Amino acid sequence: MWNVCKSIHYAILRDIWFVILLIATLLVPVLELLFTVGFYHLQELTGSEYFAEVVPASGMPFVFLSVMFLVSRVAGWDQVDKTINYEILSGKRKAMSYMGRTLLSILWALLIYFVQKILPGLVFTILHGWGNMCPANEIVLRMTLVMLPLMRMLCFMIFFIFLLRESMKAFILAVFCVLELPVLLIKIIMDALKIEKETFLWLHSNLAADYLTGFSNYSFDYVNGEDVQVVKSFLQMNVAREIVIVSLVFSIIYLILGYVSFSKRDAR
Amino acid sequence: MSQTVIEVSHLSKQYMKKKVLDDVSFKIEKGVICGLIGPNGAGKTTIMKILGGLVLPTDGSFKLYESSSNEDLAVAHERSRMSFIIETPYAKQKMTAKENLEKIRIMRGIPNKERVDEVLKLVGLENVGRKKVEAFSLGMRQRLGIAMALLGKPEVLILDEPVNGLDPEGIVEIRELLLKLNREDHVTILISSHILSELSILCTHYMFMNHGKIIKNLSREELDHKTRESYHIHTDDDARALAILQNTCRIEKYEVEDDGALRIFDGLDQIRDISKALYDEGVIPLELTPVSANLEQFYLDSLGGE
Repeated sequence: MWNVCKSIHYAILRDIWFVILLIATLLVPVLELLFTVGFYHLQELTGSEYFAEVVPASGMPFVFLSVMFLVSRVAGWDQVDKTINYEILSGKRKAMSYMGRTLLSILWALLIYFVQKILPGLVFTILHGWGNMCPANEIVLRMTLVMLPLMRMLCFMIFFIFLLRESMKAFILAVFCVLELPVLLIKIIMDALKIEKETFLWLHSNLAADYLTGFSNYSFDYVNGEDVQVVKSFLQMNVAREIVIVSLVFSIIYLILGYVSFSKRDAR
Repeated sequence: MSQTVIEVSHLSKQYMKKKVLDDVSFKIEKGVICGLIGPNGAGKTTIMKILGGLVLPTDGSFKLYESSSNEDLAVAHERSRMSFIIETPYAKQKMTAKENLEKIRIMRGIPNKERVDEVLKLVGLENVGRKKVEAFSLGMRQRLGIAMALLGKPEVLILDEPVNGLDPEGIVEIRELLLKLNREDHVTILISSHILSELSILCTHYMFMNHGKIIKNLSREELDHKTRESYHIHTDDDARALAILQNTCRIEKYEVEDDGALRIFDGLDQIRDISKALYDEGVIPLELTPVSANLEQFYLDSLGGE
């Protein structure tokens, strides 16, 4: 499996689309910062302000899009040009080819997530300190938990790609028909029925990620002799538990379905 | 006793209602070069894809060395001793030949990095430099496919139309390379091609396929024997010669060729008696030679008999 991972890794680093994705991954946090807090405020932005203001404002859509695109290249590219067939012909078991692609997708997805959402926060913490806007343990918990809906979406994308055996078409189709449309419908239903946001979080990974990265209760506290803005909307543990369980269960289901689709069908 | 490398038992494959393989069974021994011959759609590629694990059989099983297709892990391990070229070689179009080979080297876990340059030289692609595969001619792609197949120093090569698109010089080079691998490294080869003249030079065994079935499976010696089983007889009086053959020698299977000469298919072990009978009757044989039909003729006759 490691050899499969290494060979795909060797190839994707020579893929122009993957290089574009990496450049975008580096540019996105910079653009998000400029658009949400502006250049002037950047010079005094603390770590906690970054996680409690910039991350909720920018949300997770670009991370999701990046990861979907990443998976379409890592898991789908070899299916389009049939080079995945060489692995089977060379004596690699289908399970190894499948797991190799899944593992590499996960590793790169975590790196993309880290660069886009965590790294800027660490940089501001080092430069300007943590600050007082929210406790660090709350952020650590939220940013750790948000990886689970991200993994759920990644596993869905793996399944989708092994089902369609396509790369770019699967990505575009997934964005419009799978990622955006259900979220829109769920939000319309939630608004129409005036249902609380938390009730439907299990339905879609994007909604769960929005909930985990979002803060609502902003107020002022008197800290070290001055008024500072703080957030007091702490994570509800029952909702967090629900997100964890549903994300894990769906991830496993998607991975099994993807593998069945790969192993029980003839190669192209 | 020779070792069986591939053993196929009652293999069938059906797509919807169309049966592309129908109860196919055969064995391939170590060290042979077996030509798989048949028209398009006969099932040649399907057999190779099933052996390679790309296509799942509807029925039947196969063994690679001692491992049965029912043992997923074991049969996958045996595939690592083999190399396949099936249809047009699969390659990353935006990468160079060397990069494509390097990717496969990493995937197969071959530690020797120099092996990539070795196989590029072996197939005559050492000077393509930074040229991307998308700019390769069909012949260059075929050479790259062969390089990919040779990278892992396989014990068995399964090649589907490997010389397709090669120029005559390239065909000779690849033939010589395959013969060298077979003679020096005892590489077993299963090869399909529509260039029957090539197969007739290369192969030690032949399997003829049509409509998903193996219609003939024979060694080169058997083929030679079958194709030599006739005599061409040309005399100073072919009409009289025919009467003598029918009446005196009791020859029943014969044909009269366009120029009036005769070809007999039975009584071949009595050729001295036939010759004597003709002399005794005053007919002078001008030609009396064994005829060997070529592979192409034999193939066409075999299909015709279906």
